[in-house]
Amino acid sequence: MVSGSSRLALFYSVCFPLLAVAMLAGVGIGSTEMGWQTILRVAGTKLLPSGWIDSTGLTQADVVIVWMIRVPRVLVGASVGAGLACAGAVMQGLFRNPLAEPGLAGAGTGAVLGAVVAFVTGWSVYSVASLPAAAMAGALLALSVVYAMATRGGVTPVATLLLAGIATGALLSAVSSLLLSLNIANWQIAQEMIFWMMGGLEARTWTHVWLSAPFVALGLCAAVVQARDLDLMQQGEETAASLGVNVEGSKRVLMVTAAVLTGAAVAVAGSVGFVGLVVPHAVRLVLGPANRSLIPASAVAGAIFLILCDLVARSIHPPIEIRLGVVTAFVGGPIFILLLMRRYREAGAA
Amino acid sequence: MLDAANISVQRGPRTILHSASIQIAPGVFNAIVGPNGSGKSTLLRALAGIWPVSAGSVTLEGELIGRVARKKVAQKVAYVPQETGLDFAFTVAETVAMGRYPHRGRFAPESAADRQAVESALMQCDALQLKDRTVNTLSGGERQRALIARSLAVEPRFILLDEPTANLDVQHAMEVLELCRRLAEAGHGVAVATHDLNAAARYADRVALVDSGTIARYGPREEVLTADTVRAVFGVNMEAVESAGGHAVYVFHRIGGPQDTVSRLPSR
Repeated sequence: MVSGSSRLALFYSVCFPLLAVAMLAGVGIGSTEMGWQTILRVAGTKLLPSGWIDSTGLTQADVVIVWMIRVPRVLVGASVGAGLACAGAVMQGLFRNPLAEPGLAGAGTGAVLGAVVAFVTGWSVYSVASLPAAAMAGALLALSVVYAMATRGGVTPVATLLLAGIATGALLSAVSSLLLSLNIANWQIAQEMIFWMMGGLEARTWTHVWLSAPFVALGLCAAVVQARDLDLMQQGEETAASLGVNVEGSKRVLMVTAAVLTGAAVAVAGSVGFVGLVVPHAVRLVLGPANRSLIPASAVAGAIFLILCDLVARSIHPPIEIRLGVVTAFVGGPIFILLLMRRYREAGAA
Repeated sequence: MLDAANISVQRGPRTILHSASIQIAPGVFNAIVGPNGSGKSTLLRALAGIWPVSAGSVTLEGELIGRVARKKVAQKVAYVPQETGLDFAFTVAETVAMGRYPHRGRFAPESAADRQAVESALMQCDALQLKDRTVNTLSGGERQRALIARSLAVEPRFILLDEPTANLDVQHAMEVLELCRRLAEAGHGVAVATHDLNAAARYADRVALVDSGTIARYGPREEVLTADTVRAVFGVNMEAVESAGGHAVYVFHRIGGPQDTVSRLPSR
C-alpha cells in the first residue's frame, strides 16, 4: 500500500506534466497548427523581458493566433475546469452526498440566469465585473434554495437533492428562456444568451481570463482553508458539531465558496455540466476522500479535463465546433448513470 | 461533572424535553433508557451542547456549556450520534484522527500527541487491525468500534453515545458495552442511550428512565428498573430472573398478552 504523501507526490508528478502537455496541445492544435517551439517562443517574448527571446522568424499571425486567440481560450478552459471541479468537491461535502455537482444541484443554472440578467439589463456594459458577480449571486441563490428544500435535520438524501436540483434548475432555466424569448429580436443579445445556456469557450479573450481566474483562485484558497471542516461535515452535522465545528457558520462559508467557484466558471463559459461530478470522483479513487488533498488535486485535474474536452469539441469535426457542454455531458452522463446504479445496487444489498 | 439541571429543549413550536436533570460524573456509567421518541437523543444532544436549552442549564465543570467555546467543549465532551455519514471512503485511521480536530489548529500538522492519541484510541477499541480499511467496508460492530475510537481520540472526560448497540448482534453489542464499562472504570463520565433494559441493568451504575420528554426516574439501576416503573413507562410487565452467574435478567410480558414463556423452556 502506497502511503498518502507519496501517492500525492505521484499524482502531481503525473498531473503537472499532463497539464503542460494539454495546454501546449490546446494552443497548438487548430485550423492553423502551431509547433511547440513557436508557442514557447511567443509565450517567451510576451512573458520575459524583451531581448531575452529571439523573436526573429515569428510572424504577426503567429503572435495573434497563439497569444490573442488560443492562449486565452486554454487559460479560460483551465480556470473553468478548475473552478467547476473544485465547486463539485465542495458541494459533495456540503451536501454529504457524492453525487452533488454544480449542474445537478441547480447552481449552474442559477449562475447562467445571473449572467443572462446582467446581460439583458445592460449591467455587463457598465462594468464587465458585473457578469461574474451576477453569476455568483445566481449560483448562491439557487444553492440556498436547493439546500433549504432538500436538507432535513442535516441530512440530504440523494433523491431529494436531485429532485430539488432539477426543480430549481427547471424553474431558473425557464426564467432564462423567458428573457431569451423577450430579447430574441436583438440578435446579439440572443446569441450571447444561447452561448451561456449551452456552454462553450469560443472567442474567449484575456478579459475573460481576468474575469474568471482570480475568483477561481480565491474560491480554491477558501476551499482549502475549510478542507478539514468539510471532512467533518461529511461525517454528519451532529458529529461535526460535537467535534467543535461551527456548523451553521461553516455551511454558509462553504455555500458562498461553492457559489463563487461556480459563478466564476459559468460567467465565462456558460453552463458546462458534469465536470464537478466526474473530476472529484476520479481524484478520490486515487487520493482518497480527505479534502485537504482532494480539493487542490481536483482543481488541477479539472483544468486538464476541460482543456482536453475543449480540444475534442473543436477538432472532432472541423470547422464546426461541437458545444463544450455536449462533450462534457457525453463523458459525464454515462459516469453519472453508472454511479447512480452502483449506489442503488449497494443500497439494495445493504 | 457534566450537569444538566432542569433543562427543557424546544425545537420549533414543540417542547421535546421538559425540566430534565441528570449528572454525568467521572467514573460513572449512566444508561439512558426509554421508549422510541421519548427524548433520549435530545437529552444527549443537550448534554453535548449541540442543541441549546430553552430553560434550565447544562454546566460543564461548573461553566455554562453555551458560554464555553465550541472547540473547548469538544475537547472535553465526545458525542457519537446515531447518524453517521459513510458515503465517503475515509479509512478508519483517518476517521479516528478526526477526533483530534478540536485540539489542532487549522493548518497544524499532526503532532506526536495526536498520533499517540489516535493509536491509543484504536488500541482501546481493539481496532488497530482495521486502521487501513475504509469505513464503508466495515461490519456494524467494527464501524461502531471505529466511531467510539474517534470519540476516544478526543481524549474527552465525558463520552455520550446514542444507541451504540442498535443494529449489533449480541456478541458485538456486549463488546461495545464492556468497552463503555471499562471507560467508566478508567475515570470517564459515560452516558449511553439504549433500548436494551437488560444491558442497562447489567452494565450501568445509574439509569435514567426517560418518558415523554421527562426523566421519570434517575438513580442507581436497582432503584430505577423496578416492575412498577417499567410498567408505567413501557407498558409491559417485567419479571426479574436470576441468571446462573448471579445477575438479574429481565423478562417482559405484554400486559394482557400470552403469559410467562420462560417457565416453559425445557430445563437441562
